[in-house]
Amino acid sequence: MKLIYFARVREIIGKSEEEIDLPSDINKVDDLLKYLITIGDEYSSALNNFDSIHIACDEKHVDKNFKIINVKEIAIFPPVTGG
Amino acid sequence: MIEVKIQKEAFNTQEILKNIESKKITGAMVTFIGSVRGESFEKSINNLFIEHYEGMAESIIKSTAKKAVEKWNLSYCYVIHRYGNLKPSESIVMVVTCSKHRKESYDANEFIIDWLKTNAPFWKKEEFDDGSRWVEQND
Repeated sequence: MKLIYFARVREIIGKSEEEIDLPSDINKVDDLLKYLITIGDEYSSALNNFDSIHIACDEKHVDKNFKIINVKEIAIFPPVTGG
Repeated sequence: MIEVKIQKEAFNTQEILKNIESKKITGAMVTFIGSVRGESFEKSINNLFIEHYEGMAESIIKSTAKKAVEKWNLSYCYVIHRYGNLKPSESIVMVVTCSKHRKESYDANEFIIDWLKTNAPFWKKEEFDDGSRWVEQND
Protein backbone atom coordinates (compact mmCIF):
# COMPACT_ATOMS: atom_id res chain seq x y z
CA MET A 1 0.00 0.00 0.00
CA LYS A 2 1.36 3.39 -0.97
CA LEU A 3 0.92 6.09 1.65
CA ILE A 4 1.60 9.72 0.87
CA TYR A 5 1.84 12.59 3.33
CA PHE A 6 1.45 16.32 2.92
CA ALA A 7 2.28 19.55 4.72
CA ARG A 8 2.67 19.32 8.50
CA VAL A 9 2.06 15.55 8.48
CA ARG A 10 4.85 15.07 5.90
CA GLU A 11 7.25 17.23 7.89
CA ILE A 12 6.69 15.45 11.19
CA ILE A 13 6.81 11.93 9.74
CA GLY A 14 9.91 12.97 7.83
CA LYS A 15 9.01 11.54 4.42
CA SER A 16 6.60 12.35 1.63
CA GLU A 17 5.64 8.78 0.75
CA GLU A 18 6.28 5.13 1.55
CA GLU A 19 5.10 1.61 0.80
CA ILE A 20 3.68 -0.20 3.83
CA ASP A 21 2.53 -3.80 4.27
CA LEU A 22 -0.62 -3.45 6.28
CA PRO A 23 -1.70 -6.09 8.82
CA SER A 24 -4.63 -8.12 7.54
CA ASP A 25 -7.00 -6.89 10.25
CA ILE A 26 -6.96 -3.35 8.91
CA ASN A 27 -10.23 -2.77 7.07
CA LYS A 28 -11.13 0.86 7.46
CA VAL A 29 -9.27 4.18 7.28
CA ASP A 30 -9.83 4.51 11.01
CA ASP A 31 -7.96 1.19 11.60
CA LEU A 32 -5.09 2.40 9.42
CA LEU A 33 -4.64 5.62 11.39
CA LYS A 34 -4.77 3.77 14.71
CA TYR A 35 -2.17 1.31 13.41
CA LEU A 36 0.17 4.04 12.15
CA ILE A 37 0.12 5.73 15.55
CA THR A 38 1.63 2.57 17.03
CA ILE A 39 4.58 2.21 14.65
CA GLY A 40 6.67 5.19 15.74
CA ASP A 41 6.82 8.39 17.73
CA GLU A 42 6.90 10.50 14.58
CA TYR A 43 3.63 8.91 13.40
CA SER A 44 1.89 9.35 16.73
CA SER A 45 3.08 12.93 16.86
CA ALA A 46 1.90 13.68 13.30
CA LEU A 47 -1.45 11.93 13.65
CA ASN A 48 -2.35 12.43 17.32
CA ASN A 49 -4.82 15.20 16.53
CA PHE A 50 -7.01 12.53 15.01
CA ASP A 51 -10.03 14.67 14.16
CA SER A 52 -8.03 17.14 12.10
CA ILE A 53 -6.47 14.48 9.89
CA HIS A 54 -7.98 14.17 6.43
CA ILE A 55 -7.75 11.17 4.14
CA ALA A 56 -8.00 10.65 0.39
CA CYS A 57 -8.09 7.20 -1.19
CA ASP A 58 -7.00 7.19 -4.84
CA GLU A 59 -7.41 10.98 -4.95
CA LYS A 60 -10.93 11.11 -3.48
CA HIS A 61 -11.78 12.51 -0.02
CA VAL A 62 -13.12 9.76 2.25
CA ASP A 63 -14.26 9.62 5.86
CA LYS A 64 -12.70 7.46 8.54
CA ASN A 65 -15.27 4.68 8.10
CA PHE A 66 -14.27 4.17 4.48
CA LYS A 67 -13.32 0.56 3.75
CA ILE A 68 -9.90 0.15 2.20
CA ILE A 69 -10.66 -2.22 -0.69
CA ASN A 70 -8.77 -2.16 -3.99
CA VAL A 71 -7.11 1.11 -3.04
CA LYS A 72 -3.69 1.86 -4.52
CA GLU A 73 -2.81 5.13 -2.81
CA ILE A 74 -3.84 6.68 0.49
CA ALA A 75 -3.03 10.32 1.17
CA ILE A 76 -2.93 11.61 4.75
CA PHE A 77 -2.93 15.34 5.39
CA PRO A 78 -4.07 18.22 7.63
CA PRO A 79 -7.02 20.48 6.68
CA VAL A 80 -6.40 22.19 3.35
CA THR A 81 -5.60 25.91 3.18
CA GLY A 82 -5.54 26.82 -0.51
CA GLY A 83 -7.18 29.71 -2.31
CA MET B 1 -16.37 26.12 -21.33
CA ILE B 2 -14.06 25.39 -18.39
CA GLU B 3 -10.32 26.03 -18.15
CA VAL B 4 -8.27 25.01 -15.10
CA LYS B 5 -4.55 25.59 -14.61
CA ILE B 6 -2.27 24.67 -11.75
CA GLN B 7 1.23 25.99 -12.13
CA LYS B 8 4.43 26.95 -10.37
CA GLU B 9 5.08 30.04 -12.47
CA ALA B 10 3.64 33.48 -11.79
CA PHE B 11 0.64 34.46 -13.91
CA ASN B 12 -0.35 37.82 -15.36
CA THR B 13 -3.94 38.63 -14.42
CA GLN B 14 -4.29 41.33 -17.09
CA GLU B 15 -3.16 38.98 -19.86
CA ILE B 16 -5.61 36.34 -18.68
CA LEU B 17 -8.47 38.86 -18.72
CA LYS B 18 -7.48 40.11 -22.19
CA ASN B 19 -7.47 36.55 -23.45
CA ILE B 20 -10.92 35.92 -21.99
CA GLU B 21 -12.26 39.18 -23.47
CA SER B 22 -10.96 38.09 -26.88
CA LYS B 23 -13.34 35.11 -26.71
CA LYS B 24 -16.23 37.61 -27.13
CA ILE B 25 -18.13 36.24 -24.18
CA THR B 26 -21.04 38.61 -23.62
CA GLY B 27 -22.94 39.67 -20.50
CA ALA B 28 -21.28 39.62 -17.07
CA MET B 29 -17.77 38.69 -16.00
CA VAL B 30 -16.73 38.48 -12.34
CA THR B 31 -13.10 38.07 -11.29
CA PHE B 32 -11.66 37.08 -7.93
CA ILE B 33 -7.91 37.32 -7.33
CA GLY B 34 -6.30 36.10 -4.11
CA SER B 35 -2.77 37.28 -3.38
CA VAL B 36 -0.05 36.70 -0.77
CA ARG B 37 -0.43 38.84 2.37
CA GLY B 38 2.44 41.05 3.50
CA GLU B 39 2.11 40.08 7.13
CA SER B 40 0.62 37.49 9.42
CA PHE B 41 0.14 37.82 13.18
CA GLU B 42 2.06 41.15 13.01
CA LYS B 43 5.12 39.56 11.42
CA SER B 44 6.36 40.27 7.89
CA ILE B 45 6.06 37.35 5.50
CA ASN B 46 9.22 36.75 3.44
CA ASN B 47 7.91 33.83 1.45
CA LEU B 48 4.74 31.77 1.10
CA PHE B 49 5.32 28.11 0.27
CA ILE B 50 2.32 26.34 -1.25
CA GLU B 51 2.32 22.54 -1.32
CA HIS B 52 -0.25 20.61 -3.35
CA TYR B 53 -1.44 17.12 -4.22
CA GLU B 54 -1.13 17.32 -7.96
CA GLY B 55 -3.64 14.88 -9.43
CA MET B 56 -6.31 15.50 -6.84
CA ALA B 57 -6.02 19.29 -6.93
CA GLU B 58 -6.80 19.44 -10.62
CA SER B 59 -9.71 16.99 -10.48
CA ILE B 60 -11.32 18.79 -7.52
CA ILE B 61 -11.07 22.21 -9.14
CA LYS B 62 -12.42 20.87 -12.44
CA SER B 63 -15.38 19.14 -10.78
CA THR B 64 -16.12 22.27 -8.73
CA ALA B 65 -16.04 24.44 -11.84
CA LYS B 66 -18.31 21.96 -13.63
CA LYS B 67 -20.85 22.08 -10.78
CA ALA B 68 -20.81 25.89 -10.91
CA VAL B 69 -21.20 26.00 -14.70
CA GLU B 70 -24.22 23.69 -14.49
CA LYS B 71 -25.87 25.34 -11.48
CA TRP B 72 -25.51 28.97 -12.64
CA ASN B 73 -25.54 28.33 -16.38
CA LEU B 74 -22.14 29.96 -16.87
CA SER B 75 -20.90 30.66 -20.38
CA TYR B 76 -17.27 30.42 -19.26
CA CYS B 77 -15.24 29.58 -16.15
CA TYR B 78 -11.50 29.97 -15.62
CA VAL B 79 -9.52 28.96 -12.51
CA ILE B 80 -5.77 29.21 -12.04
CA HIS B 81 -3.91 28.32 -8.81
CA ARG B 82 -0.18 28.46 -8.08
CA TYR B 83 2.05 26.27 -5.98
CA GLY B 84 5.71 26.58 -4.95
CA ASN B 85 7.31 29.71 -3.51
CA LEU B 86 5.53 33.05 -3.73
CA LYS B 87 6.41 36.55 -2.50
CA PRO B 88 4.01 39.03 -0.84
CA SER B 89 1.51 40.60 -3.28
CA GLU B 90 1.99 37.87 -5.90
CA SER B 91 -1.27 36.32 -7.10
CA ILE B 92 -2.07 32.87 -5.71
CA VAL B 93 -5.41 32.16 -7.31
CA MET B 94 -7.74 33.70 -9.89
CA VAL B 95 -11.33 32.69 -10.57
CA VAL B 96 -13.24 34.17 -13.52
CA THR B 97 -16.90 33.43 -14.08
CA CYS B 98 -19.04 34.62 -17.00
CA SER B 99 -22.80 34.52 -17.47
CA LYS B 100 -25.64 36.46 -19.09
CA HIS B 101 -26.40 38.39 -15.90
CA ARG B 102 -24.17 39.46 -13.01
CA LYS B 103 -25.86 37.61 -10.14
CA GLU B 104 -25.03 34.19 -11.58
CA SER B 105 -21.39 35.18 -12.10
CA TYR B 106 -21.07 36.57 -8.56
CA ASP B 107 -22.72 33.57 -6.90
CA ALA B 108 -20.78 31.03 -8.95
CA ASN B 109 -17.49 32.79 -8.29
CA GLU B 110 -18.04 32.83 -4.54
CA PHE B 111 -19.09 29.17 -4.59
CA ILE B 112 -15.92 28.13 -6.44
CA ILE B 113 -13.47 29.99 -4.19
CA ASP B 114 -15.27 28.87 -1.01
CA TRP B 115 -15.27 25.24 -2.13
CA LEU B 116 -11.66 25.44 -3.24
CA LYS B 117 -10.56 26.83 0.14
CA THR B 118 -12.11 23.94 2.06
CA ASN B 119 -11.60 21.03 -0.36
CA ALA B 120 -8.78 21.52 -2.85
CA PRO B 121 -5.55 19.92 -1.57
CA PHE B 122 -3.23 22.91 -1.21
CA TRP B 123 -1.40 23.85 1.99
CA LYS B 124 0.24 27.21 2.74
CA LYS B 125 3.31 27.75 4.87
CA GLU B 126 4.29 31.29 5.84
CA GLU B 127 7.99 31.95 6.26
CA PHE B 128 9.29 34.79 8.45
CA ASP B 129 12.73 36.05 9.55
CA ASP B 130 12.51 33.97 12.71
CA GLY B 131 10.78 30.81 11.55
CA SER B 132 7.69 29.55 9.75
CA ARG B 133 4.15 28.34 10.35
CA TRP B 134 1.61 26.25 8.46
CA VAL B 135 -1.53 28.30 7.86
CA GLU B 136 -4.64 27.02 9.68
CA GLN B 137 -7.98 26.71 7.92
CA ASN B 138 -9.63 29.46 9.98
CA ASP B 139 -6.79 32.02 9.77
